[in-house]
Amino acid sequence: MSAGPQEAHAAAKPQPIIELRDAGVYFHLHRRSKINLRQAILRRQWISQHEVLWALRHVTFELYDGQVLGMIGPNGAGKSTLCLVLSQILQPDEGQVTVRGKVSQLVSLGTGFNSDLSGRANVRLCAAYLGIPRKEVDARIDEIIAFSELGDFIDEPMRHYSSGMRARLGFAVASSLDPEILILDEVFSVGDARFRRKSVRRIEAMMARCRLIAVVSHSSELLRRIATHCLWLEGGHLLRFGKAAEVLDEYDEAMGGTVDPDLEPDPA
Amino acid sequence: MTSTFANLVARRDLLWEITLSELRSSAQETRFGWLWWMIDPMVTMMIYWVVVVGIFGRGGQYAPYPIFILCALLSFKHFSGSTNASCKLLRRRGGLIKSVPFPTVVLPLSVVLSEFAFFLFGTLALLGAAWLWGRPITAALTQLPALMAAQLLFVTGVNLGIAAVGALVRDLSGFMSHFMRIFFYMCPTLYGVDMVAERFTKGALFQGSALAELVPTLYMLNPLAILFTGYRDAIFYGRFLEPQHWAVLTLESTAVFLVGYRIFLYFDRRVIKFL
Repeated sequence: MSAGPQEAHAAAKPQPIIELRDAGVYFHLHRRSKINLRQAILRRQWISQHEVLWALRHVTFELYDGQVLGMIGPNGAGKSTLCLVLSQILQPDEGQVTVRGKVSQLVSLGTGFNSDLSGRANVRLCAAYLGIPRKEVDARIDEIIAFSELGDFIDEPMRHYSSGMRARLGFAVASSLDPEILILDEVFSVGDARFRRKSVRRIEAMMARCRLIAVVSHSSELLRRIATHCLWLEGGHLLRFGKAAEVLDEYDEAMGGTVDPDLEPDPA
Repeated sequence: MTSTFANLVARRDLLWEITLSELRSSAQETRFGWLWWMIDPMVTMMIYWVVVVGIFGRGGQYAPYPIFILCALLSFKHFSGSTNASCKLLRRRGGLIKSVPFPTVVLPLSVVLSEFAFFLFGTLALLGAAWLWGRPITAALTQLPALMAAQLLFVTGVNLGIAAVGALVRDLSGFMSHFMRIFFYMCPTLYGVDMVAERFTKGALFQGSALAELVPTLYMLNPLAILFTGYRDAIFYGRFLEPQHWAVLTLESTAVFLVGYRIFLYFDRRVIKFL
């Protein structure tokens, strides 16, 4: 999905950085009718029918330089699928997606670790998965290790790490990326309260360097604060797309309240 | 990120890092470390030596028998070890594939390459043992790089196909161990190809019929049969593999590689939905 040749003469109007045209992604459901041998012979129905679920359909929007997109919607609305499409992990089954720039999603790298190897070796491995060139890794590795606060543990095999230590190292690597377009699926913070504050500051610094940010969140509080635009997904369809405040007002009204359940004061 | 050749070249660092970490982790935290790379084929060789020579009293025409079977065992282990690992590979790495964009083709490739490193290591040991056992050092040894290249091409092709299909069809890994066992005996690992020809032309099977001539020819269409014969010609007998076998081997391993890569590319975009 790189830039096409037809762009040259469109210089007058600013180019959208992300452009979705009628994009759709479907998944096969494995809920299928059981076929037994007798039926297969009598009805000549050999191949079982898959049910198709459109996780996204007819999604069209454009985003420009400097915008921050908030993505809201109930569970299963297609937000994470949209993140996969934006980060070009998943290609759409219909329609077109154009992304101009280096995209990265801030992910937990837990599954990328090799438990037999030291934390240091795993930093290199995970950085390679993320596409950070080896020279840059060499230059940044001390900073990454310092941020993870693992100390001498960095040269221990990772199977001796606690889950918090794994998460901290994963975050330290993932957040050392320098993307032009940053995707955050749910607000992302790890470790204890102090490390959490530190990681939020790091995400904010990362966001400040980006040209475009897309954030998934259930908290309209947060999105009101940081997003310029919002899209509201429901059942794979784009219900609303526009200025953050307008979309969020409508969304809050539909959901019946603006209070974040996490922030709601305890009745006791 | 699709697994096109251009993307693979762009992310060659990743292929290198994964392969290296596989190799490192295989030696880490074990008492014998990298010696395991040698212990595995040696133990297998010893078992067959005891069974075939010690108990059955066969293999006399292939003395020294350990060298004779190691020429094939190492190569077969490269094939079976990587193919077994590739079956479940994409599913095991599903979490990563769904969160980080990278050309997934590096995963099966790194398996093939790290197993190939074990193979190289074993081959060095084999060459040492062959020399100690008084096998001649001849110009025939110069065939080794070409044989290894053909092997790498063939094993890579098979693995790309298996990795993609294995991600979609869960039953595949169940079949694979049985298939590998059957295939092991179908290949000339424990016996030489001369024995196949002998059984069919002089033996009771199909005597005098057209099949008696045809079967040995068909048998040699198996690229592994040619490879094993090649390694034996180079290391054990000190002679050159016949030109028609070189031709068939080159053709087949290239074809298998291209088909395997096509299969992988075809399923590449779909696989993620099944993980």
